[in-house]
Amino acid sequence: MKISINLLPEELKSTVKRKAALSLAKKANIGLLVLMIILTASLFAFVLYDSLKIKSANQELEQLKGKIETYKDQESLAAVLKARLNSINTISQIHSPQNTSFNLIIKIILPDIKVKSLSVGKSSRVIANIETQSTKSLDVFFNSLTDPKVHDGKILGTKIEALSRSQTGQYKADLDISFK
Amino acid sequence: MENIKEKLSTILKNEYYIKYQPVILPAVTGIICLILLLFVVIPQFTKIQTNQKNLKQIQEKIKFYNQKAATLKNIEPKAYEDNLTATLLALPDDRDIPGIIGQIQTLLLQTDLLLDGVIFTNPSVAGSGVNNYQVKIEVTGELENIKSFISKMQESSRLVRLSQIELSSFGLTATKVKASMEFTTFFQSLPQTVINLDKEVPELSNNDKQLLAKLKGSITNTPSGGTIQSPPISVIVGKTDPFK
Repeated sequence: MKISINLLPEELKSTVKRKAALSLAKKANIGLLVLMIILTASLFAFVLYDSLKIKSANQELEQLKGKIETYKDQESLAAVLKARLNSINTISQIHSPQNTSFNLIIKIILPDIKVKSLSVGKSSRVIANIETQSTKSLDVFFNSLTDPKVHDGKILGTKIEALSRSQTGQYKADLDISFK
Repeated sequence: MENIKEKLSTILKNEYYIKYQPVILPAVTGIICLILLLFVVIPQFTKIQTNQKNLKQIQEKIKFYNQKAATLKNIEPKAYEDNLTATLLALPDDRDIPGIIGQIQTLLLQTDLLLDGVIFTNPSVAGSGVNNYQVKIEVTGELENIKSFISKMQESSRLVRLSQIELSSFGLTATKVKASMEFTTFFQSLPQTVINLDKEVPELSNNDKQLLAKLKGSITNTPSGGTIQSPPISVIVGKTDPFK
């Protein structure tokens, strides 16, 4: 049977323990310090690496800028052409209401009605001065002006400013036709 | 070196150092670690984050510039110049009064109308936007020919729109009609600066291509001008734009 006897006095025991604890603490402190130094050095190395990468990327960027600069004529052409086409497209969608009004009136007027004057203004109003011998033609013409099936609802209203009949049986009318 | 060693030895043998040794070393280590943390680790960590963000932005720009360079490389300058010419015929960069006169002459000839007069109004110029001016044409001829003239004017290569018309005496026995037609014609000056490095290259959409085909078609359909019946139009000499 093994018997262990510690012959060290009590005071020495505590001193040894204290020294051991101190030694451990020292080692821990040094370890922590070394760790911090390693961390700091790693961070510096990473920052340096990043800086080099950024520098390289910036150089590549400058080269690309120079390359694009050589294509400036093509870029100008493309930009101007696109802008131009956009403008033309916008204008092309502008319809001429005066053209529509004019064509509609010409379509409605019967062959035996004489138009002494016809004016289509900027507001698409049509002022017409007509003459005819035929009451039937006049009637048909007036009906066409007021029938939405004939003018597709494009005529808002017709005002007969003057209507007269001469001794020779000639009818004259001054019309003011409003369009949408 | 010997002095430093002596001094270090003195400190280590100092009774206060021996007494407070358990506290001194951790405290010094702690202070050094704190200093390193506050003045080195945290700022460098922030710098790394900023660098990563910058690098990402630069790489995105590189990708964008590569794509832009590839697109620009595919642009054929001749084809684009031809397209631009077609658009400039439709929408000139200045009033181009000789151009519109030439067009009127050609269409009058085609529609067998007699020209009684041409009046140009002074345009209002609104910077780089689309500008316009009016052209008033007075003619004599058949009503059908006048209708045809209006239709051809509006379908021609140059962009115009009928804005006013006055006719006199048509129908029944009247064969000749006097007409006064006002057309609005458009123009737009070319932009001063168009290049922007960070802007994408504008590409032509299907609508744009269709519009170009239409513009080129209307150019080929408009024949060159010829002689005109009396009264003759005076030839413009000197300034191409009488309003300047």
